[in-house]
Amino acid sequence: MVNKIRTFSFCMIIISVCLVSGCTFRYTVPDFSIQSQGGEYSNTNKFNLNVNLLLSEKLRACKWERKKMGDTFLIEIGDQLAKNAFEISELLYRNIEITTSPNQKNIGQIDAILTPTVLVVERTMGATSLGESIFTIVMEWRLEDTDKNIIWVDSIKGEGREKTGNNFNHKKLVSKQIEKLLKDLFSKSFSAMKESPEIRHFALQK
Amino acid sequence: MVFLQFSYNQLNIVRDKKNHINKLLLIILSAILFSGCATMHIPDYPDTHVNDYNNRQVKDDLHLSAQVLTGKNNITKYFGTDLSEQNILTIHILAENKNSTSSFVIDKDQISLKNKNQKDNLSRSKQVVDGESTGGEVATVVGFTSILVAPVLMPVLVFPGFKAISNAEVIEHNLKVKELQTRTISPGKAINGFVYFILPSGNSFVKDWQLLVEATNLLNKKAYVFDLELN
Repeated sequence: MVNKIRTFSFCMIIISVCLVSGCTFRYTVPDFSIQSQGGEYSNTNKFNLNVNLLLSEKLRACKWERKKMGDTFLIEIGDQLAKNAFEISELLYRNIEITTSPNQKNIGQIDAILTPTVLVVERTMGATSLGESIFTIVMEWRLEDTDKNIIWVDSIKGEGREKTGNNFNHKKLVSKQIEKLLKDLFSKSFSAMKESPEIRHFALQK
Repeated sequence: MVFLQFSYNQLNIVRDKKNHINKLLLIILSAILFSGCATMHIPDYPDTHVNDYNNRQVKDDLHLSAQVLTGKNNITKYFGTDLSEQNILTIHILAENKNSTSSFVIDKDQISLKNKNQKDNLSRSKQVVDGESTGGEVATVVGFTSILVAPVLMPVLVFPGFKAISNAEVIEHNLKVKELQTRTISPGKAINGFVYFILPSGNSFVKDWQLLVEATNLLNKKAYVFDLELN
């Protein structure tokens, strides 16, 4: 019995050393494209506006990071959010010009400035590998005229749910989860802008 | 073969020499079972209509009402923990635009609490949603303890540790996701969400406070301040 406890303790020491030394799990964000989603994003009646899409450094640097039991879990999702923000803006507005800073000068004539901002980036992990993990991003979309008056603003919640997974399948499951989140977030964002009477009204005045 | 036999004898932690199930294993398994395997689930707040609450006001056909979430059981049910224990006031806000032509914007940064007996206002607390007061603390403490425990006891303590961390994450996630954000309310549309305030200690009587919510009419840019009683 004593020997068994010794052996078991030895195994536990090795496991705990591995845990304390810590690993970094950098999850791959799938290359999700709005254009490949088909009919859901069809729009035959674009807003007749020249829009400056402000994709800030803060948006591009958006990430979810969790330190847990000595390990670091990391999802760098900012660039993907910026890419999809550009894609849905292209589908909704006549012309898009990208800037990365509010002080950056526009080349052409601009009617409005569209700024996506991440307000919440949160992910839960299940207590066990079979437990559900929820990944949520709340993104604010703010459309202002050139005098900084709000035309329309909304905060959209996107969510991806998957099993937490174990050491063998967690990377695959997280990838699926991110794709579900992006689909949900950008489909809701697209609908919210497309159906906004405030943007339609502003575009008709121009 | 000798090596395999040795390994079986030395590493067989399931049964002892009398072929009885090892007590240590039973302790580990019961620790896992009693701590609960399932990930914490917090339900959505039920659908509520703007007229369901007594504290309401109408300005320019924008209907706004608010209700403080009270009762330990009720708060725990929808937030996973009793926020009032930490002096956090949780208020549910509903707004419905019955104006046929104008849209309104409610800016979350323009929501505050006003003490009726004092001049100063209490702005919406960022500290609560940043996880410094609820789930985050639990996660840090439990996680740190679990790393430091003696290796033999590790499986017994690590699983409840994982469970506590997972619960803390769910609580923090739920708190942020249910928060009212800045939104436009188009004609005929309604929005709702929670705002959180940390009340100063020794001044936790809800009836002493008034909720101030600013809404802006997007058509004429006029700002309306709703001042709602909290009782």
